[in-house]
Order: sequence, then C-alpha cells, then structure tokens
Amino acid sequence: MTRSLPSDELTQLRQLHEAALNSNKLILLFKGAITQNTLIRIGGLLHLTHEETHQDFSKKRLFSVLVEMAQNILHYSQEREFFPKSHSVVGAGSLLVKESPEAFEIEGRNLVTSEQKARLESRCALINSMTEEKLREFYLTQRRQSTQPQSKGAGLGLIEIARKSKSPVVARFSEGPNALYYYTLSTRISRDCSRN
Amino acid sequence: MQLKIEATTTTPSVSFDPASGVLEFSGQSYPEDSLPFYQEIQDELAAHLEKNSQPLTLDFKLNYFNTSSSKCLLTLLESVERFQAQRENIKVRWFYEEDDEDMHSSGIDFSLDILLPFEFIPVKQLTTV
Repeated sequence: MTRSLPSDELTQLRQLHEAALNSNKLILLFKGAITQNTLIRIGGLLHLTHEETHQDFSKKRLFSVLVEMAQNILHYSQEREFFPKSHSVVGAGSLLVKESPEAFEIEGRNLVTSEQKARLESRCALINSMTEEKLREFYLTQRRQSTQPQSKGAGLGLIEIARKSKSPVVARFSEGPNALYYYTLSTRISRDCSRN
Repeated sequence: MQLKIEATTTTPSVSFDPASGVLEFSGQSYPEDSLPFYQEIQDELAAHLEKNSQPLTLDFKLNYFNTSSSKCLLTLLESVERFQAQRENIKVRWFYEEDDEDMHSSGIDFSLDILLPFEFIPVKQLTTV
C-alpha cells in the first residue's frame, strides 16, 4: 500500500487549485478513494440525472467519461485505501471537471507504476492516431477478445473515453513517491457537437 | 426461470415473463463489479434454455451502460447465441430513445457480433427508476 508524501500531496493540491482558478467554471473537484458511492454522488452532484442528460447529450457523454475515469482509478490506482466495513481495497485519485460555454474539460489523476505509464503512453498514442470509425472497430475487437476466458481486461475504458469525448486523450506524467508516477488523463467534450 | 431483479442506481431491473417468453433489461448499468451481476443472469438463462424450447425474446431498454457492463452483455449474448442453431426462435429487441444515436449504434454493434436477429425500436422515452 502506498501513501503519497505530504509534500507531493501539497504540490498536487496546488496544481489542482491553479487549474481551478484558471477555469471558467469549476464544477467538480474531488480527491480521495473512489468508491461506487462516490461515483453515484458525483452523478447526482453534476445533475447527470436521466431528465437532464435527456435534454443535453453532452451531459450524458460527460457522465460516461467520468464513470470510465473513476472506475480506472478505482481498479488501477497505486494509491489504495482499505475500507474495513466492506473489506474492500479501493483506488484513490482525483477528478476535476470544468465547464465553459463551449466545452466540458475533464481530468483524472492517480498514481501509476512505470509499467503502467509505458502502457498508457502507447495506448493513448494509438487511440489518438485513429479516426472515429477505426476507434469503433478497435473497441469492438478489444471487447470481443475481452470475453475470452484468459483475458486480463482489455482497457476498454480509455477507448470509451476517447469515443464519448470525440477528443484526444491526453496523458501527462510527473514523478511521484516510491518510484511511482502521477498520471493525469485529460480530455474535453465539445458542447456544440453534442447531438452528433 | 424465476428472474426478478429490482433496479438500483447502478444496475438495471431484470425480469422474465413466462407467458410471453420475454426477458427484459431496463435501466442503467455501471456497477463496481459487473461480472457477478451478469453471471447470475447468464447462468439462470442457460439453465432455462437447456430445459425449455419455447421462443425467447430479449428486450433491452437501457439508457446507459459502462464498458465493463458492455463486456458482460456481449458474454451473455454469446452464451444465448449457442442455443440458436438448434432452435432458431430467439431474438433481441433493442429499444433506444429516438434522438440517442450512441445507444442506437451500441445496439448495432452488438448485432454485428451476435448471430441473433435484432430488431431496433426507437421510442420517445425509456422509463427509468
């Protein structure tokens, strides 16, 4: 189990704070263990209820992207918290959502190993090189393989984030504690193509 | 088959009507762990298909599912598909809200991978919990 050093936490919070100040409208900033309940509360907080996503499909896409980012953190973050009540270990990280009249900007952040970093870098490069149609084929191929018994998870989340946001998935890394890396994944959802 | 699962915020309702032979999934799906939820349904369904040869319709009235649910749905459909060769009386009806292109194309994507007849039914609004 890894806990970040206080100074790293401070740097991280300072960066989040800066991002918040630079945004048009900060609508979500969360840091901590991402449990299923957290996810449900986030959905409610952003008014991503059915009635509202029905009016505005960019909100439905925002919800999809947040769910995949949150579940990636839950399953793969190297910063983990133990919940004695449910006897579960859950990944921790942060989520940030900014809103401007043109777009939602979404950012997820958590700790990863250097192996995860290498895999994520090549995954993002591959995904960003693909057209929408290619991405769809890639998603379907990966999903088909994922139902094979020996599959170890196909990383569908990242492809889904790119497909729903219709924007590149941008991965940034900086050195973290214990030879780990802070991994920041960001993307944006344009609001004018929301009904395409 | 005694399937009757109530919907939650993160899982759909699932119910089987023996009279019409319709198994319906309705709501949204993004549980923390999709596998146990769908595995149970898949097992019940396979047991039912082993014993019964009457027609079966799978109705999907989902307004959202995440990628791990999507994986489980594909696995479930694959397990049903295996029975189709001998009986040819299983079909899928995919309901979607008429302006929700994402949900419509998700259904089309399943129909390309699964050898079951798919019917696509646009509706004004899907009922939700």
